[in-house]
Amino acid sequence: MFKTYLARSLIQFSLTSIGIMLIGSLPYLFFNMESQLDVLKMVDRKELTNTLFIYDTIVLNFEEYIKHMMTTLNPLFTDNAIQYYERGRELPLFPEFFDAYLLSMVYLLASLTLALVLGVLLTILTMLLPKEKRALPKGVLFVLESLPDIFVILITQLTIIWIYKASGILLFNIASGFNDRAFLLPIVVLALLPALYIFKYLLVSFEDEEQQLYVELARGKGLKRSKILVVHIFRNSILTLFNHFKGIFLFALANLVMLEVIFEVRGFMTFVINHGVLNPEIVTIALFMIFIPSFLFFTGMQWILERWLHGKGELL
Amino acid sequence: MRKISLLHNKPLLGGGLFILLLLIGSILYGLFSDPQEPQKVLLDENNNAVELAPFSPSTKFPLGSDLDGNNFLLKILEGAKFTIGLSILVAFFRMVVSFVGGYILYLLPGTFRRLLDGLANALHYAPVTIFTYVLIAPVILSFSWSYDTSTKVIFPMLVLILISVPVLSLYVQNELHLIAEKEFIESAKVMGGSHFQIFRKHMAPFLYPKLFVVFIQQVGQVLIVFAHLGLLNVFIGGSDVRIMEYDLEGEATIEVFSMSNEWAGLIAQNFQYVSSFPWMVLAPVTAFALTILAVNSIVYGLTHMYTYRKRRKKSIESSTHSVIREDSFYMKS
Repeated sequence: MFKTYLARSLIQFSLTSIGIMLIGSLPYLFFNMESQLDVLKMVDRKELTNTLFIYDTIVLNFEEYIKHMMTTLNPLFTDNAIQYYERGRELPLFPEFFDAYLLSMVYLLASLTLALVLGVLLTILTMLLPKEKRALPKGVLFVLESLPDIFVILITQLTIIWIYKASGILLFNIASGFNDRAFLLPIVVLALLPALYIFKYLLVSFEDEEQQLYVELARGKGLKRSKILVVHIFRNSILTLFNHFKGIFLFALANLVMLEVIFEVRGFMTFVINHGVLNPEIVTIALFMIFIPSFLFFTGMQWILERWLHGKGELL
Repeated sequence: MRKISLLHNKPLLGGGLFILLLLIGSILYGLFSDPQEPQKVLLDENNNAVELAPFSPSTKFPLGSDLDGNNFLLKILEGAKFTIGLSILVAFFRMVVSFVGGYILYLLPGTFRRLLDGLANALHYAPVTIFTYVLIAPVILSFSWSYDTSTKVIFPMLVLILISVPVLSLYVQNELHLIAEKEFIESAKVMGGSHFQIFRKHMAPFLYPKLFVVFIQQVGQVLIVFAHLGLLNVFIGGSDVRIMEYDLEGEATIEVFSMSNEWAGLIAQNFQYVSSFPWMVLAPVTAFALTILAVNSIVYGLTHMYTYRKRRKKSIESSTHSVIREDSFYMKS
């Protein structure tokens, strides 16, 4: 069984890798990147002041497209340092990019952990309420999870500023300065929406489990409500949580972009946005840097879970 | 029966009315408003200057005003038709292309589906915003000098449409396969229906309601992407439409294409003032948030049709849910 699982994962891995290559080099398919970059470099060197005579159209440049995919792969086999272009200079991509990556991943992982804790807490608190009284938290949940991340992040930031102006108390650093990084607030803000999603999925799963007969039996045996919730129902909902966790992770990744832009964090996503347009290979590399660790993690976890399920027979 | 349940469906009704009224109001405003010269100074009864533009939110300016003293609420109202209209347009074409794509995938052997599934998986590992930004920004920001205005409108739209086609096509194909397993398809085949006939007469009707829900969801998705791209300074219509250029004869070229007060554009223009005049960004972002909320409540209303239709039956259903079945018990080894 392990062999087929491994083979399946390998096929999936290579297909997605090819997909990343295909997407990452797309700008070379649609634009005459080489000549455009030449013009841009001339503008940056102030050799060219008038660009009105330059005209270009959208093209389908398959040759350049394939060539660029090859050049992106090139540094893997040779030890050429990858460079990127910024305002007239060629700068080495690493370690700068890696530092930004680490920073963003710290934010992401910390807030995902916080989101997990928050989500589980919210679910258990809601489940402790009698069934009829759960409508209100559910309604609030629906409204909150419908709000776009940009709104939530902006509102939180502005509220902190407003509190600061009104009372002089700075709860958190709002934007990242030169030495002092806004650290705590971005993590909290980034955790908010994923926490709501975890809450949403767990609540559904908890309510399903609540209907099961083993809960009735436990209640009949005189176990406390809270104990049934925390120990028995929660244990059986972990599988559902894991199934949704990949989606939540990718969702948090999307929130990270807006967070970095609004809080002026010089992280991974802002780096891709600032430099990915002129250097499409950065997009490809960035995708791999997210894809490979998360793929390993999720495939590994799934393997462990599957073995656990098979070892234990049916999960209750 | 159906009509009544539709009226009882509050989320659907509320969300639908909100968007409809916003659109109608926006179009009417565009047709009948008479442009007034905005005032840069706010005066009280004694003609003393109270405040300079941009004005903070007050009863006269519920959402504040911009740098020239224009009422932000009216700006939002004027821009609504462009933003909502564009997102409906993009979502609609996403659905049309994906519908065709899904049908083609359905006809192709399963290997193609698995191949595309693996390849499209790559799209999950970064936010849509990043992909669209990297593809749109060259036209609008980085190399903006070399593309004409129509390219600056059409190309971003195409990118926004095509970026989600692979995933949506796979969804359509999956739904088609689920329907194809039903028994009545088998009988239609036995009756001698051709492939396309079966698709058109027996499968597609089952697909349309589902696709309609997905379409509404897509409108919400597109709105979010618009808001994100606005924050990144990219918005449809280009960021340089307001700059007047001079052609070779020295004559001013007047802006041909202008979508005034499109929400994403408002975010893009005003984000630099976010710390000093927060309402200038908050107003369009709130407009986005409310519209997305309305869209989501329509989706909720559509997917929960049954809870709003079978209200009377519900009490009977809930009393019979704990039936003890044979498979409820099993021996523990």
